[in-house]
Amino acid sequence: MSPITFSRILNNGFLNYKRNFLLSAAATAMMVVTLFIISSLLVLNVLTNLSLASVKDKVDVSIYFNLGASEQTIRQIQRQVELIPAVKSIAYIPPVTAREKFKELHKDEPLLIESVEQFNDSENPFPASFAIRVNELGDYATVISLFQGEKFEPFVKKITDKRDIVDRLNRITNGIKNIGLGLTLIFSLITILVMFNTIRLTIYNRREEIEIMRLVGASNSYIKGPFIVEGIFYALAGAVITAALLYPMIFILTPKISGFLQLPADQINTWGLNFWVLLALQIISGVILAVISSLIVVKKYLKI
Amino acid sequence: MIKFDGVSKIYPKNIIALENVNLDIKQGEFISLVGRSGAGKSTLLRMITREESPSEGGVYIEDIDISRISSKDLPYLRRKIGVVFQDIKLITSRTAFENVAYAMEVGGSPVEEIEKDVSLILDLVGLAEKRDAFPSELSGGEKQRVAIARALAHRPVLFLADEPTGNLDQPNAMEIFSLLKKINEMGTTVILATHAKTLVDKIKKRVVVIERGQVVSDQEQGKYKL
Ligand SMILES: Nc1ncnc2c1ncn2[C@@H]1O[C@H](COP(=O)(O)OP(=O)(O)OP(=O)(O)O)[C@@H](O)[C@H]1O
Ligand SMILES: [Mg+2]
Repeated sequence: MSPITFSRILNNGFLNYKRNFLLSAAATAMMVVTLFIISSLLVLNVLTNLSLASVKDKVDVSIYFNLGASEQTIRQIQRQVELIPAVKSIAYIPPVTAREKFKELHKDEPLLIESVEQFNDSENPFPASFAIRVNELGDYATVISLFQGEKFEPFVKKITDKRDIVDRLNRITNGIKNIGLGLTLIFSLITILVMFNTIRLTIYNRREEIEIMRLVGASNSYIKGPFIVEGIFYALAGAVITAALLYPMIFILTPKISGFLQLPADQINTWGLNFWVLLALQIISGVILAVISSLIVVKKYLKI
Repeated sequence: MIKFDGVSKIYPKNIIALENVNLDIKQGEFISLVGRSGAGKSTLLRMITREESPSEGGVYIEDIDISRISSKDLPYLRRKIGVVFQDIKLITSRTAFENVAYAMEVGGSPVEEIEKDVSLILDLVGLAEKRDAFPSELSGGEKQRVAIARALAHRPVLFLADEPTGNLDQPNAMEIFSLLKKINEMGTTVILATHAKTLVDKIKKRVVVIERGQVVSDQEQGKYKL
């Protein structure tokens, strides 16, 4: 195709878009809604991944030992556990530290502090413990069953496990993602239908011209191209408007969200919520929707 | 150049528009196709541009069976043929100039060439002053001339005119006829479907008479007779 033909196709496509302004505006608006949902889904995905990662990082399993277990025994256990590949880190918290932590935590409650201070070091009621982190969430089960096994079990007083927090968070974010995906699907479908109808109407309005084009020897692409281009214009206009709406929102909301999720704000940008990435994503998804619907219309209503 | 070989055309509901038509048309000829309304003239012309396909037989252009031309190549065939449609088919939202330019744009001609050629062609059909008028601002004869200009835009080797003088008075029809003769004299093969008896008789060229879909007479320097 020669450049001049290509530019004529573009031009005719733009004319299609411009001529039926109200209808085009409706199709563009539909595009905006859908792209907005798609991009929100992406933003949400990035944020939940980030917060999950940060929560996972904070999760550990605590093994509390019986008061009778000697430090020597515990250290020996520690050396054995350290050898397990799934274990990322193991921290030994001696009774003294545990007591300090408790005091630190309850420093505004003098009564509690006082009661703790009644004990001297040798009578310290705080048990020694391990804080163990693993590489994968699934590895916690391994560690826990190890401490429940007959080898270590006699020394262990209690195991606390924060996995359920992660589970719950996982479930909530998955739920949100599923709803988002559902919405994306529904709105993509609506958008395709709205564009479909708009382009069909353009074809109807221009049927006289299309017939003449055919008869004076226009090629298939010359006749069909403008309607694909028209669809792509909906996508481009939709993407630009969506970006213009969404980006200020992200800008305002990011500090709040990252505060809430205790994420460093700068991390969010490095995770791909950058303006151009979003715009590109919107353009790509918009163009995909546009091309799908205009190809169907053209195939169905433009007999060459 | 063009050959109809036993061509029949049966439209849906069993309407027989053409029946066993055999025709040989040579390069540079001027042929008048005459016959009553509904005889099949337009159908015959539409076979040449492959707007319609024969139900039987074949249409050959330069020995190529045009039913074998792929839909991808069909535009190139149509660009070799200039057609003035019976119902004119101008784009109402475009000026005379734009209507003619349109046919050239479609073929990918550059802007300067279009500007130059269209002006030239509008001059040839005597519409230089009306170049910026919309079809609704033109008389019947002027519209016919825009249609002729558009059909000429591709510099066709074959020119099909379907009743280009319909609804025109004698002097106007006369002008169109001499325009077609001029086109023919420049080397283009012309096929003209018409009801204009006096004019057909006057130009003394080949006349093909169709009656109920059949060629009933085909004479060099023929007369209009039904
Ligand atoms: N698309 C079509 N579908 C069905 N029948 C058609 C179609 N086009 C033409 N016909 C029929 O075919 C026959 C020939 O029509 P055609 O248009 O070729 O006649 P014509 O000689 O051009 O007539 P006129 O002088 O009035 O233009 C007529 O009976 C007409 O009703
Ligand atoms: Mg006719």
